[in-house]
Order: sequence, then structure tokens, then C-alpha cells
Amino acid sequence: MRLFDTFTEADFEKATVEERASMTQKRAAVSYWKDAARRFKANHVSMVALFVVFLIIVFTFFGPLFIPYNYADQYRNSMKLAPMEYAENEQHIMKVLEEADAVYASSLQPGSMTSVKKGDYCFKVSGKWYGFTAPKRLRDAVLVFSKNNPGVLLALDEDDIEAHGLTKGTEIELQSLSGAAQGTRLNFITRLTPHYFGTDSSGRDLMARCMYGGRVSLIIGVTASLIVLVIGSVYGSISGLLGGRVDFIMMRIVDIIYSVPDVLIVLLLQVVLQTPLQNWFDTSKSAFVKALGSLGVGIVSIFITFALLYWVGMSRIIRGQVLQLKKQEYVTAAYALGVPTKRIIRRHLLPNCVGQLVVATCLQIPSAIFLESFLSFLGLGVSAPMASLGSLCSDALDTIRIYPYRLLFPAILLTILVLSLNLVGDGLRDALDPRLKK
Amino acid sequence: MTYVLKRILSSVVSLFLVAAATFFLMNAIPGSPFMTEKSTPEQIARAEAKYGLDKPLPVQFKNYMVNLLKGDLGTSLKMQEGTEVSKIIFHQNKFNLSIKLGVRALIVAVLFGIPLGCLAAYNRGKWIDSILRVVTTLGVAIPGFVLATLLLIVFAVRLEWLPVISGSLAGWKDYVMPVIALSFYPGCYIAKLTRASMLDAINQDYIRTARAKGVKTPVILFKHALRVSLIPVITYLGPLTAGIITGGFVVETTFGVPGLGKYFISSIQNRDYPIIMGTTIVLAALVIVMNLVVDVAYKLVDPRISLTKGEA
Repeated sequence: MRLFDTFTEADFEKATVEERASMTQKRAAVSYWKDAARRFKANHVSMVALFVVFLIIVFTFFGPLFIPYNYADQYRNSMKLAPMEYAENEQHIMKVLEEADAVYASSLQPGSMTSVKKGDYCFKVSGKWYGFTAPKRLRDAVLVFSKNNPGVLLALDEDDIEAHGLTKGTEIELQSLSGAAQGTRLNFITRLTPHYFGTDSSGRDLMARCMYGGRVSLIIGVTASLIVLVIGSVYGSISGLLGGRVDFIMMRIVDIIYSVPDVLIVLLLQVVLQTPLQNWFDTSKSAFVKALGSLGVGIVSIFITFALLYWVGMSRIIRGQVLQLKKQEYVTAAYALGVPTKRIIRRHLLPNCVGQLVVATCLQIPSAIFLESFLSFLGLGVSAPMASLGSLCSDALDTIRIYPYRLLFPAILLTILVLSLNLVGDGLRDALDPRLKK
Repeated sequence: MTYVLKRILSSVVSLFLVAAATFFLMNAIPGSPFMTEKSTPEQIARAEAKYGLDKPLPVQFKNYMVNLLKGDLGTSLKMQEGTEVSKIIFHQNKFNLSIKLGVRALIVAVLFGIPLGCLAAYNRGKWIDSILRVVTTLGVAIPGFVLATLLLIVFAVRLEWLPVISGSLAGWKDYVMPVIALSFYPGCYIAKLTRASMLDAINQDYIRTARAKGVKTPVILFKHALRVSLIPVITYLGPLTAGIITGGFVVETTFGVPGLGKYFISSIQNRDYPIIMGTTIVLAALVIVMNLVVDVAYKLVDPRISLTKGEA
């Protein structure tokens, strides 16, 4: 330690700007959300779950762009296929491709055989147009674009194949076309897609249906949760804010709805709402109602059920939070300073409730998906050709002993979806609750 | 005691509301229950008059409620024409079957859920905790009907150990799958709940005191911590009853048990008003009474909550 007498004049000079800057430690202020995001990222399980949810969203929303099948179409040659199987005619085409040394062989569209009538046709291969004149009607033919003989298109009729194998069919002269195409246009499909998940008894592609069903389930889950969020938070915050007798009465109503066995009412509502909703959709002219109608009666009545019964849990959470916040010193201080109520709600109450709102809404999504699948399982909810994960499972049950995989795919998708949504919700709760901060 | 009285009153109101909601919803289904392809308007009118369905709705409702207070649930319109609903529910084994299944599932869920939750909390962070966490997380994410069907395929169809149709639950073999399917979700939920509240309790001061005094770990866990941790489990018993009734619909349908749940669903499809009403009221009463008992028991068990104040 230096003694007083060893200090020199220089020791008492003012610090320069640089010196001062080097002394202060500056760290960017970490906001609530940044902090929460950091905590969420540190939680590996939730991050993986979030990634899985993201994958499922990509699969269900963008997947249909990559497969040539539609969820509602019934493909004639593809009934009751096992997973990874090709349609009958496509199995045929594959054989042709292997044995007849062909470059392209195709039917017109997936799942249907090419029926070529007499007349002019054109098609496009590798950016070039070709044309031909069919000499006769070719039923259920596979058109082969041969490598050895590029000027000739081989049309293999079913009779041809039976009689001569895969090499001898009706040979048709091909013409190179320049510019505009003439005659009926054929779409050559050069890449064959198997039915990855197989097909159902009416020839619908199960993968397309799972994608569509997953989308419907997700939409139902998110929309129902938003409905619950709006009603529950408004109701709960009014009750909590006003307090006193209003709060008492509003909470008794919640108690009563809470103790009602919801499923009994839900089942009844589903049946009751069918006809009136259908009438409403059919007669109304507004675009909004039309859009609702396109969702189908089953889904809309699920929304109504949520709006009527399921908001109570949310309203309790929000009321509790508001009650707790209202008693905080800083809120009292704000009141004492004469801050208007509106501003207190906006500045102090709302931001402090957002975390809880996000968590509760997030955890509501899987439970809504659960309820929908339960209803679909009992034969209510969505109906064919529409699909949800629940209805796909329930459809699969009729043939469960012969085609167990039909249940497997939607059930696995549903379980993974609900599981990862639950895990994401848990992670959010841990991240957003400051009390759990370490 | 005022709290108990208040709770009973609000339960009665709940039950009344359920009855009213069911009654008016049911009657909002367009058309008459007697409408078939063959029936003429006169036949329908005659049938409706016979059962008092021609009177205005409020009058019908008043009549029904008066009869209900006398314990009369009315008679079936279609499914078992002329039979008293109370007989259908209670004397044809339907209620019995559902209760038998439900109670067993409830017991299994509690008997497995609580010890497993304790086990996980006791071994926190070890492999047994991890395994249990995976199982319970999966358990609350698998839809009941998927689990039920999987059990059915594996144990009944492939392995042929258990009967495909459980029917009227004659032997123990008939119970195995329905009870597992019904108790899996609540069991997992209870295990999660117990683990969380157990861990919560372990961090309390009085546990630290007990440790400092040299009390052995098992004694601390089962005597000091478990008591407090059971409170959330007790509050869950109300929703659990409702959940088991809901699950019962699925399980009874899957395993072919002719219980109340299955009958309820077909009664909605058949629009047999008195049966819908009767079943709803019986099931709702069950859930509401359970909620009531749980709420009161909860206040009695937990000395931290005083009964005299009422609102806690």
C-alpha cells in the first residue's frame, strides 16, 4: 500500500476520456424477450421439439407441392396399395422402362392409364415438341419413347403386351414440331412417384391425405387456441381488473362452466350444429361465411365449442395474473402519480401478462388437436373427402387387421405433433417465467 | 361449513345448467325423433303426443325437471321403446360396466402414478428419471384411441393372448386392455404431477430442517414431502373422473364393451331424447359430485387453507 507522502501531483489529475471509457463496463441491456429467447435456446429438448414442429409444418403445408397426388382424388389403378408401392399401371411402366430400353414411358397423369383416341397428339420432352397421329384407338396404353429408335413412339396396348411382351407394340411415327403444338396435348410424366404411405380402399393417396389432415389439424389447433385466447383473456382481465362483486359473479360463472363435463356437451353440440350451420353456409352471401363454409360444418362446430366452453381455463390464469399485478407497488405508484388506467393497462399489466398468455395459448394447441381427433374418432368432426389426423385414424380402424399401416402413419404424425407441441409449450413456460430464472 | 354449503349449491346449479343445456340443445336438432322414411305426418304427431313432445318446449322442460326431482328419468322413445331410462342405465348393466372399468382404471392410475412420480423425484437426474420422463411425456401425447387400437392389434390380434372383444367383462382377461388403455394417460399425468410437486416440496425449509435433524431420506420423502405433494394430485381427481368418462367412450367403442359411453353415443345418433338426457345427467352428476368431494376434501386435507374464510 502506498503511503500518502508517495503520491505525486500526477496522481490527482483528471482521467482522460479514454481512461474513463476503459473503466466503465458496458453491456447491452437484455430485454425480457431476449432473455427468454436465450433461456429457450439453452433448452435442448424444446429446441428439438420446435424443430420437429417446424418440419411438420413444412411437411403438411409444402409437402403437397412435391407429390403429384391430391388428397381428394381417387386413383383408379391405385386401390389398397401398401406403402412405397406404385400404381398398377406404373408398375407396368417401370417394367417397360427396364426391359424395352426406353427413355420415357408414361401414362397421362398419375394413377390413370393413357387412353389414346384416334387423332393428332403432341407432347413435350426435354423442351422440344413432338407430335404424332394415332392410327387407332389405344386403350390403357403405355407410351414408350425409345432410346434405340428415337423417331418412333411405341404404344403398348394391354393386348400387345400379352401377345408380344414388352418389345412389340404399335409403332407410331414421331414428328419433330417447331413452335406451336398441334392436336391434343399429352403430358409425359417422366418421374414416377410411389405412394409412399400407400393408398386407401378408394385409391386415395395416404401421404397426400396425411399432409392435408395434418394441415387441417394444425389449423384447427391454432384457430381454436386463438379463440380461447381472445375470449379467455378479455373475460379474465375484466374480471381481475374490476374486482369486487363483478369479479365474484364472473368467477362463479367460470366455476360452473368448469365443472360441467365438457365432452358430453361437445358431443351434443356437434350433432345439434350440423343442420343449422349447413343452412347458414348455403344461404349466406358474405364472403367470410363462404370461407367458413369451405372448412366444413364439423370444424366450425369445433370452433364454436371452444368459444363456448374452453376459455375458462385461460380466463382463470389471466385473472390470477391481473389480480397479482394489480397489488404490485409500481402499479400503486403509477395510480398515485395519476397515470390514467388505460396507460397502466398498456404499460404495466399487459406486458406482464404476455408471457402467461403465450404459454397458455401454446399449450392449448395440442389439446385442441386432441379433442378434434377424439371427435373424429367417434365419427363426428370432419368428414370425407376432407381429412384430419383424427379422421384418418378413425378411417383406418375399419380395416385395421388387414392394413395396419393405414393407422400407423396418421397416428405417428399425430403423436409426434402433439408431443412436440407439448414440449415446446413446456419450454416456453420455463423460458418466459422469470421466477424460474436461475 | 358455509364453504361446503356454497359448494353444494353451486354444484346443484351446475347440474341444473347441464340439464337445461342438454335439453334445449337436444331439441334444437331439427326434425322429429320419430321421422323415418315411411312415417306420415299423422303418425309422427300421434307419437309425439304420446310422449308429450307436442307441448311447447318450456312446458316440456318443466315437466322433465319435476319428474327428475322425483327420480323419474322418463322412458325410451326408440332404442328400447317404452323401457324406463333409469332401468336401461342402472339395471341393464351399462352403468355397472362403465363404473367397473372406470374405477379400476382410476385405481391403477393412482397406484402406478404416485409411486412412479416419487421414484422419479427420488432419483432426479438419474437414468430412471430420464426413462420415466420419456414414458410419461409420450403417455400424455398418445391419443387414447391410438393406444387402445395398438393394444388390440398386438395382444389380441397378433399374439392372441387376450380376447378381441371384451364384451361384458366376464374374466380378468377382459379387463387388461381396456384398463391399461383407460389408465395410461391419467397415470402418466399423475406421475408427472407427483414428481413436480415432490421436487417442489423437497426444496422447502422444513425438509431442510428435517435433514439437519438427521431424519433418514426415505422417511423425509414419504412422511414429510409426500403429504404435501399429494395435494395437487387430489385436485386432479376431479378432472380425472371426467377424463375417464371421456376415455370410456373411446375404450368402450374399441373393445366392444356395451357400457354407458357407447350407449350414449348411439343414443345421440338415434335421437332418443330421454336416454340422451338421462345419460348426460347421470354422467354429469358423477363428475360434479366428484369435483365437489375433491374440493371439500382438499380444503380439509390442507391445514394451510382455512374453511371458515371460504374463498381461498
